[in-house]
Amino acid sequence: MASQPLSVLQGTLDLLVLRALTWDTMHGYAIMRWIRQTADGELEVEDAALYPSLHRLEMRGLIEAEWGLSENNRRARFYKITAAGRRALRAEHESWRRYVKVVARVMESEA
Amino acid sequence: MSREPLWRRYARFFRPDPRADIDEEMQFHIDERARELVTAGLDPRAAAAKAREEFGNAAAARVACEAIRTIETTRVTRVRAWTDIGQDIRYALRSVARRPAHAVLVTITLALGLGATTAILSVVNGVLLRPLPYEAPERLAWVYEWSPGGDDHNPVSPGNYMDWKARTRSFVAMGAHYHPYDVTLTGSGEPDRLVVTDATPSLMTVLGVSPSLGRLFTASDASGDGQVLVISHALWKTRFGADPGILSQRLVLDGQPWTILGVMPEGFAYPDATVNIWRLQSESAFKPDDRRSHNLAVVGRIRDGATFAQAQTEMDAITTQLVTEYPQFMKDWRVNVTPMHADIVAPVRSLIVILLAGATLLLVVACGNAGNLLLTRAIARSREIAVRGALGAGGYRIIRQLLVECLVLAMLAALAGVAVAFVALRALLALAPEDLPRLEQIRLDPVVLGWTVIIAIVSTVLVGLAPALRLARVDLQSALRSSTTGDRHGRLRGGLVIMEVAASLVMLVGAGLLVRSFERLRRVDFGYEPGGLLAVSFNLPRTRYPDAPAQFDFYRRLQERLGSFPGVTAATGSSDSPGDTHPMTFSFAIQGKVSPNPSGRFDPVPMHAVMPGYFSTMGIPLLRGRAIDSRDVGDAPAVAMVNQALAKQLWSAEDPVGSHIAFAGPEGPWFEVVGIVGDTRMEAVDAEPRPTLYTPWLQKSWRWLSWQTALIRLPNGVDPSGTAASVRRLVTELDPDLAILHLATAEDLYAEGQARRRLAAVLLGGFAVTALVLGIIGLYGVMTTTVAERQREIGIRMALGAGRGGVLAMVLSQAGQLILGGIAVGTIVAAASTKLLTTMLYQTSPVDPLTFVAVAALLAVAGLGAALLPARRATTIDPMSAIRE
Repeated sequence: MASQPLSVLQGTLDLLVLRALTWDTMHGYAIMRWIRQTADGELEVEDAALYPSLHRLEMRGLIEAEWGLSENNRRARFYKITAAGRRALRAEHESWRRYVKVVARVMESEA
Repeated sequence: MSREPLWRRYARFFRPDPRADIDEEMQFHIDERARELVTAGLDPRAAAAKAREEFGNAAAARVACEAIRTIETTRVTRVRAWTDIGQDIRYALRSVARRPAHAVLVTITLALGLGATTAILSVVNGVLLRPLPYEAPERLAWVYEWSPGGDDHNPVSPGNYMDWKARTRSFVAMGAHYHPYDVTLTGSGEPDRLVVTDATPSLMTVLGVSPSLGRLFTASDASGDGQVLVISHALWKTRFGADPGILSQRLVLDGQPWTILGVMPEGFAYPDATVNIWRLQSESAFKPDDRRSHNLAVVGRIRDGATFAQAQTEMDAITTQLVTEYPQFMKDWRVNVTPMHADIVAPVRSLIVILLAGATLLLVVACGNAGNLLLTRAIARSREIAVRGALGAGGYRIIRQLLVECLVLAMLAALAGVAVAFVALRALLALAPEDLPRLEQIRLDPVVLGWTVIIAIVSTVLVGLAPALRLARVDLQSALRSSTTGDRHGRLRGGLVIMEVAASLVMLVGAGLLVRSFERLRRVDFGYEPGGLLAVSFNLPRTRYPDAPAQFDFYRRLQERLGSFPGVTAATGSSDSPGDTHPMTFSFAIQGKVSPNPSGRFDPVPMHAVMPGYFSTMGIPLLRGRAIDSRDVGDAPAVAMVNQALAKQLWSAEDPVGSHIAFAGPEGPWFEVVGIVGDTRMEAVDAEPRPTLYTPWLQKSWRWLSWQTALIRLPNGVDPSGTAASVRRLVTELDPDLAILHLATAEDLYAEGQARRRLAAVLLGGFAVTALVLGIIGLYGVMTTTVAERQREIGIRMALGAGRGGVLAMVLSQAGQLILGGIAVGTIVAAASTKLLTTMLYQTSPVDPLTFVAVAALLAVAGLGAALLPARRATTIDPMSAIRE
């Protein structure tokens, strides 16, 4: 595999966020930590890019946000996936799978 | 996850600050990372710096977040607005369903106005707006001669047509045809009366039409026997069952065989919808030097880019040349180029404008009524609205809610209005005279229905807006405290009633003038007795009745058989049918009198060739001399009769009896005038009697008089329809190939001539009566509401000693003020607008005082009558309970 970590496409980050939140209610930092750990460091995501993604998902009603206190008693914004979010994730996941398959087929076809 | 302290959450509640929130959220991220790095062994300052660097551009991220929030918020608001409208519609439907009687009343009221408007708009659309069904119809023109006598629609002579066509440059093509006339189709099945037009091949090219089956005739078809024609789509379907094998079959018309070349497309109705057949009229058959037979209609298509004015200028120049070239025929003749569409609709434009004005006024009355109903309902709901306002609905939100309710009502009204229009249109088409141009184009089509919906929405919102605006400004406190909202609505309601009364008055005056004009017409002295007179028109084909003896024989037999018919008092015949507005006219010379015309003849007058017994059967009084009788046949000395008007005009004090006239010219042959008869209004009721000549049918075979009408006198009180059927049988017995062109009572024949006037009277009258009823209901409703609102005040007055009579007078005078206001406004509007009716009126002034006074009195009485019930209710108010309320 490539030695350089892959950079993440815009829409893909939304998908990853939704996926992370199916696990648990998390704040932004925890979401990022989960994505990095799950990808074994092979994905390059800039922390700053996470927040527009979170706010977009929130405004679209796919996730809900609430202020709460973190493990060390700091005010943090916690995100929770909504029913609409789960539906969107299922649909997006399906089309992602098809996308990957098709792109792979095209790329790996005999030149 | 532990919970944030309560106060912090509420701090946010009072001070929403998304920017600070985003910053705080991201700062938390950076701090967490820094804490992790410290745990991993970095010193706190280095850890903080590294965490910040790793995080990336926080400022850019914050701007992005804010932008996303703004964009998404507007999107969400828009979605929510639509959801709200859905809610409004549901709420409106519930509100309508809660008071179904009110909704039905509003809907029906508006539907009456909308239906009338829609029906008339279909006429406007079909007759005035829809383009003619020809290629580029806006460039088609009719070209007429303009006679020295001032007739600018004079038919054209073949010579002029040929010269115009050869010399014009502003017309790319010209065609000509004769006036449509009746022929008898025989051969297959029943003899049928058909209408033909003889047209030059270029006519169809000018119009730009192609046949739906077969081909058109061309100039080369004249080289054969020239007996070729094309038939209308309607005739093809009705008479020939849409048989595709019809082509090259032969039709026998008036005994002559003609070959069918083609079938015209559906809807082709030139020059009008009565025509079934177009026959080839070869241009080579025209005599180029014939400038005396003015009997062609000429159609031209103007060149691309040329205007009608340019065409007129050029035709003027050409005609001036012709005047110099042929002064003996063309002296003082001019030419008239008219756009075809304008010329077709010209005779009905004023009728349609009148009907449109009537429908619009009815709509105004309906809107006034609906407005009052909505206002009353809105006032009754002011508490409900105030509660909604108190619960946080803004003024905009309440207005929108009320307008959505109006729109729901508008849609219901539009639907019901279309149903009303459907019925009204059928009635209108049944009443419409057959010669109403473009009658076949009148129908409810999507364009008209679109207008209906737009008018429904605009009018409903207009009448609903005022109550909505007032309600939205309702003072919450006072509305919640009491159910009365003071006098502010009173003025609006009063204004609506005045508007309704005024509009009703205008329509009633219009209808009243038409009725009065009818009354005058009904009392007109016809100069003969039209009641109980049956007219049977037929066309004797020259092929089977080629000469005078054969024709005379037929007429004699017919008259004999009809005369001896059971139930028939007398029978006779004439060349013209009563009610025929265009009788043949003839100019004639009088022996010993000098005519001012160069031809030596006097101006043409109608001439009727009549059978013996004509005057006694018709009931025309013989004033002097003798009537045409059985002596006046064949070679007996030629005679003629004059009516009183002609005697007065040309003989004045002298006695015409015994003098001689000649149709050919001052050289004779001479006809001796043997008698004078009374004047008749033979052509139309509303036209003054014309100077008229009579000659004996059986004396001369009149080449130009090919129409015959048998006239049968029935005893008083006998229903002519029974006799009509047996007359039909009798004619068939005499000649099975003879088609009856027309069979009607003389009164019906006049009614046909009056159909346009009757259509205006019936429709305008119907609109006016509807408006009157709506107006009265509106006034009643307003007075009822007013009395209810003033209950307290009336109670106090009564407690203070006002008598029942005083209360009655007070309420009635309030109604009287509204009625008087309406009558005043209406009279002014009516006086200014009844001029529109002038062409429809007969010997009635458009500002006929009697009509105006009668209508005003009717409205005053009806209005006060409507106010009487609420007024009496006011007198029964119990002062104590009214005050306590």
